[in-house]
Amino acid sequence: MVQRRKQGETSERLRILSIRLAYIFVALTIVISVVFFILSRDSTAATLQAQQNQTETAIMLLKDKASSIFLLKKRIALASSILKSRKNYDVLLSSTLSGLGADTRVDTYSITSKTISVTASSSNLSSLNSWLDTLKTQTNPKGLFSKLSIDNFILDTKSGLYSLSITVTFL
Amino acid sequence: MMPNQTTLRILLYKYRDFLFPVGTIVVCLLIMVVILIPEGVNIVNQENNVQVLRNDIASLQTNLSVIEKYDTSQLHLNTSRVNRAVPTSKDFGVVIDTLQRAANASNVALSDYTFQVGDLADTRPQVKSSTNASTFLVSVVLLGDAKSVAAFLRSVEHQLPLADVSDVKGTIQSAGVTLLFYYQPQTSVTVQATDNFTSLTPSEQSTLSTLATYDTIK
Repeated sequence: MVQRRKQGETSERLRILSIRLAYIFVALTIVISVVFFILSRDSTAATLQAQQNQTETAIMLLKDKASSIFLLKKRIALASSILKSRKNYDVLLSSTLSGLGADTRVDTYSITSKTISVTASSSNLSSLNSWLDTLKTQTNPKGLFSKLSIDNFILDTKSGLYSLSITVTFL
Repeated sequence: MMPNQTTLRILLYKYRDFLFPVGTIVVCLLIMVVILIPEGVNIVNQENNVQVLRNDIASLQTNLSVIEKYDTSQLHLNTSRVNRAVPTSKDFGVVIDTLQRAANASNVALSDYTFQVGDLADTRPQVKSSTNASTFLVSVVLLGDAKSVAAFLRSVEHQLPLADVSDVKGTIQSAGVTLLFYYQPQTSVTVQATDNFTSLTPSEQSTLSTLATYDTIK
């Protein structure tokens, strides 16, 4: 009889537990459903979509201006690359000739993409020497030229002119 | 072995008090699995889409702001300046004018000049330089000493259109100079609202400032 009573109590506890669980599940289902219903009715996405369309339309109304900006930036990039790729040949030529004395004459000169060659003549050997010294000071890793070479040195006994040919290589 | 009807009735009677709560729990679980979980996934996806939309709108508004803020008259001025720097076609009139101005400024006389003509109008670039621009060569004979020729080169390099020295061969009183002039045919662009528009960077501003110092048309 005691055992039967215990079984009855256990069964009653289980019944109450199952009813409570059922209430919890129902409540949970209702709460989640309400939350999801509210969230799914949220019109943020639609509002944002409308805003996106509106902004796109505003940009497309300024299409010509936008194209001009786009093309301008492309041309600036092109001009910039040209400016960067150029060497200041005027500076390089002027620097090469800078040490020439008044009694020295430039006979020939040529510029290529990497070198400047100059042939100068003078009756005064020290003037040519001084020119070479000037060029030597500019030939260093931080200077304008990476290399200075003497191509030729001639003394014309008839005219008494010394002729010196040099080539400098740019850095 | 399938339980017969009597056994089922006994079981139902025995567990009659549990039928309703267990049934309710099963129904709730079914609702969750079949309806609520897919709906939850949809809501999460929708939130992600909203975030993507917000980012898209932010970049679109940046684009719009950049386009609107760019002063139209400044845009025209800059566009015409860069088009003078790198013309859209081989403009020999401008080249001759540039050479003449450089000659006047540097005290040399222009003797002969030769143009590498090629096609005057061709959208396909012909001679490509390292800068990706199309180029054409102009050879001039200058009457003047080496210092004047250096001044001429300086003047040419500080004018528009942009030019580069290709080759120089000089003697006491004259020099043959070959110059490289750049041009780039205008390409048509189809602008999309989603393209990335940015204001001019400091580097671009600097290039424009440099070009402005070379430009005779202020």
